[in-house]
Amino acid sequence: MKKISGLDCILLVDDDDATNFIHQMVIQRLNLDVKLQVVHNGKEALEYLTCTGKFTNEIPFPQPGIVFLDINMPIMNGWEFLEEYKKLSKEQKAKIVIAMLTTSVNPDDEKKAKNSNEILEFINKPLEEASLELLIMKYYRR
Amino acid sequence: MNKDKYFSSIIKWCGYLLIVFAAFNIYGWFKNIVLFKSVLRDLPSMKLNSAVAFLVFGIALVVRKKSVFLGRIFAALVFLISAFSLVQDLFDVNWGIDELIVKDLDGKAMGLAHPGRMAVSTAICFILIGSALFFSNTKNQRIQQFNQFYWHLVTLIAILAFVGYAYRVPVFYRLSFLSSMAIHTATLFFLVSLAGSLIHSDVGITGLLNGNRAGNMLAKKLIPSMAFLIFLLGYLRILSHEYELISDEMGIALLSTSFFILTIISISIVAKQLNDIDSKRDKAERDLQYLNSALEVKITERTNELKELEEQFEFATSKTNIGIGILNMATNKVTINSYFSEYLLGIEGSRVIERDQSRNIMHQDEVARHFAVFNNSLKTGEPYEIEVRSIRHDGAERMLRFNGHIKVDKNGNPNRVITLVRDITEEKAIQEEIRISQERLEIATSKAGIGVYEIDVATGLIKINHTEEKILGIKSENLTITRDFLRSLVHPDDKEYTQKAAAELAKTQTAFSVQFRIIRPDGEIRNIQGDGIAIKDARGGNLRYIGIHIDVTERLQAEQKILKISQTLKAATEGSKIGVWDWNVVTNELIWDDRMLLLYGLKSSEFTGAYAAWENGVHPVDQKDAIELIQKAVKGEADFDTEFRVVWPNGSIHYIKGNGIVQRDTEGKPLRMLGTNWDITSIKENEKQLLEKTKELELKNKELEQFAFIASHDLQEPLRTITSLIHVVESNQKESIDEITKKSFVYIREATQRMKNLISDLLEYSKVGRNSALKEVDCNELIQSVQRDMNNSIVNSGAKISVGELPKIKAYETEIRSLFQNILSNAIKYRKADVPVEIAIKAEDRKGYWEFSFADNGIGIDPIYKEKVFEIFQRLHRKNEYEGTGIGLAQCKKIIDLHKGEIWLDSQVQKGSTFYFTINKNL
Repeated sequence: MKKISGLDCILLVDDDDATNFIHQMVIQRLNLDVKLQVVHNGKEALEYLTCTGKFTNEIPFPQPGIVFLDINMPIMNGWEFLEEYKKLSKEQKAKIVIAMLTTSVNPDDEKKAKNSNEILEFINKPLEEASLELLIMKYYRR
Repeated sequence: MNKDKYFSSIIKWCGYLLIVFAAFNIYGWFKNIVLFKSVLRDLPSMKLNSAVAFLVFGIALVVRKKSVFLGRIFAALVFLISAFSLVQDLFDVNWGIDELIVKDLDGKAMGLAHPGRMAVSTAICFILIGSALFFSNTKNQRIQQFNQFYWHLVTLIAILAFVGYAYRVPVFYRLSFLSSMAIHTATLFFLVSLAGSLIHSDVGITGLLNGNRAGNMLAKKLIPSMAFLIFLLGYLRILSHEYELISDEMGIALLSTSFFILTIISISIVAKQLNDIDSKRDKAERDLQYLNSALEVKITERTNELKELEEQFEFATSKTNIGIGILNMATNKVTINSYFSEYLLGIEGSRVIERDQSRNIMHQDEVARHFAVFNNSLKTGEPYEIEVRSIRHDGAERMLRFNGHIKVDKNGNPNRVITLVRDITEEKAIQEEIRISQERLEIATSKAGIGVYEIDVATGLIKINHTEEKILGIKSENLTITRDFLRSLVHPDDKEYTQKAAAELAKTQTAFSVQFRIIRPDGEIRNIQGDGIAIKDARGGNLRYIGIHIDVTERLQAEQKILKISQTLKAATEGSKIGVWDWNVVTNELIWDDRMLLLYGLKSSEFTGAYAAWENGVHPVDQKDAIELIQKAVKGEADFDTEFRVVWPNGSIHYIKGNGIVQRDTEGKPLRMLGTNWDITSIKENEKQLLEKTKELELKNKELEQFAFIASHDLQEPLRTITSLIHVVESNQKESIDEITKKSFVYIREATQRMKNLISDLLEYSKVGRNSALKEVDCNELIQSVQRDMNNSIVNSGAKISVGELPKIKAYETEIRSLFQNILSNAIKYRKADVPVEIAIKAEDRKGYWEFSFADNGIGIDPIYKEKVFEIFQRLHRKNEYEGTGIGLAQCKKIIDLHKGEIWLDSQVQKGSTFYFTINKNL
């Protein structure tokens, strides 16, 4: 198990359990010492980040270093999550890399993602080991 | 007549005289006045009886004319008084009536046997005059003669008494055997008898004196003169005897001689007078004879002249077609000319016919009417005129006009009637023609609102029609319309130039046209268009002016209004690309603004200013429709709002949008059309492009749907393969499969199943509106059918569904079924775990659409997702919470779009949801 400094937690935001299962398998195969947290929509993700709602807890959860965000979700989709995320305090969103994971081949989505300050990466599903490694290299092992 | 009256008054005055005398006498007796009683002392007195008799007789004379009866009573009284007196004398008795009132002392003194008694002669005289007066009213000639004889007898007795007194022969006034008559008694008798003889003035001696013939003249001349002469000579003889101037023989000789001489002289004078009269008469006779013969000659001449005149007259009238009939009222015969006889009666020549026969020229039904008019004319003496129907001798019905003139004789009595007869059948027919054509003209002019007037230059009188009356606001029956009157109606400000125009017309022109205002008698001001012509006589002088007036007030007002509108329009359209046109329907004048010229590619010099200019500009293909629409708009059958193409002179084609409104007068007659044009070529081109694009899009859409359909269908195939293959792997390596693989297989199976659902739902979604047709759908039956299909889930969930009265709608049945199914299944799917499902379905009839509502008591939806739920692939829940593809409500939305309705919901979290949708009734 390798410990990557600064990367304590990876947040998977997707409503599809099968996808989350696959992504968990991919991350586990890299044998990283990291917490894997799965939430099913933007709302749950926000609650996790702010320790509210379902995730109300006195001891703060470890801040995720990477958020894999799906676009199409019930209750609160990826774009809506981003709107709310912008409103968070600096501490709440410090060091977070948001990677948009999507099956969408819609170029409009990619364009929109690239124009967003919060989204650093735009990755097509399914997440593969190589692109995850590349991502970690890019943001955590300089 | 006058003579009788004159005589009557003499008799009356004689009566008064008697009364006065008698009164004096009676007074004398009472007061013993000699003068009143006997004039002279020694002469016999008039007795009181006599005085009373005279008094009574006087009264009788006065009253006799007023009352015959009273006259007779008094006459009889006189008779009785005298008769009593006479009876006393005859039988020597004394009844004491003589001195009943006063004593006759004088008579006693004179030694009279019966003092106070009237003389016998007096009594006789009273008897005579009493009886004569009593019978004076008789018509019997014999009695008249007797009466006259009595009067004359009394006259004679009175004369005898006079002569007795004159010649001092008492025997005369006493008549020897009679007592003496007083002198004034005699006088009164004389006067009374003369007066009495005038009662029947043409009888007896009075009658002899009272005439115009030669004998009467002789009597008148000789009797008084001879009587006087004889009396005078006798008196002279007595005087000579008394004074013994000459011897008796000598006296008689002288008396005879002088009597002889005087008689001869007297007769000679009278004879000569008679001879003179006779010779005068002879001369008069001769003159008369001469006159007669002269007259005869003249009559012959006149007769010839008359004959000649008659011939000329006959000749003249036979040529003039005038029948003449002269009715002689005395003979009741009618002299007729040849036209009358030959043309009207069908008999030969001019002649004299019976009046009855002359009536044959009239229809028998007309005779009475003619007779009435004729008689009236006879009474008044005025000429008469009458038109009668006539059946001519040949059976032809004709109209005749009679003009009759009444001629009177010198006493003013009608003696002849001259009647002119004219055949006016043709004249009447022409008059009727004229009347009808005038009527037509009147109708035509009144319909057209044209007032017509005609001025007779000579008289200044004006004839006008009814419409003119209306235009001028007058009633012509109440006044004489003159030229001056017409001028007086003209508005003061317009007088000058209208009179100038009229003067011009009189001088030079033959027609004029002028517009002016009039002030009607009631003060209303109207605008008049006047047009007139002058009708000239042979020398070119104006005889009559005939003119028409049209009231253009409403038209002018409308024009003013149009002017205002057009100015407003001009202001409004200035700077825009809208062209304004103004077409005067009446004059056909067309006005275009500059923009219009640009729209039609014309220079202002090329624009004719008439309606045809527009027609010519319109594209030949569009001309017919555009012109038809203009005509319909003018008639008021359609609005002018259309599109057409125009062809510019350079050949380019432009699309024009044109519209216009028609201005009408108060009677609805079109005056003007006013409207706009603008270029819609670019819009037209855009429209064309849009249409092409739409078609393209539709085609693409269809291709896409086709693609979706085929794709979804073909995509099922690999999914089934995957499922089958996983099954194969699982069964082959049952023991060696680890947990992860097992979990993976679950996920694979779920994913393929979801894929299948998605594809199937997508297919459904893409099928909405395809291959289906509108039909009548009974929603009650449909919802029941849907409930039957969903029986399992309904039973399993324990749902209670209440359905209200639902309508029959025109819709796509398959789609409506999916709609109901989707919403119902949603309501069941998203139910609360611990609460039994309740669903209420209702429908409301709204204007133009049906509004359905499906209300449930489920988990509800946060209002912020109200719109999102209808988007495709949008889900509010995780797949493992509630199964679904996120297509159902999107499909519902698509179905509602297809039915031109709307879909929305009303919900709160945990408080149930109500889905509403509407379906348009006019699909």
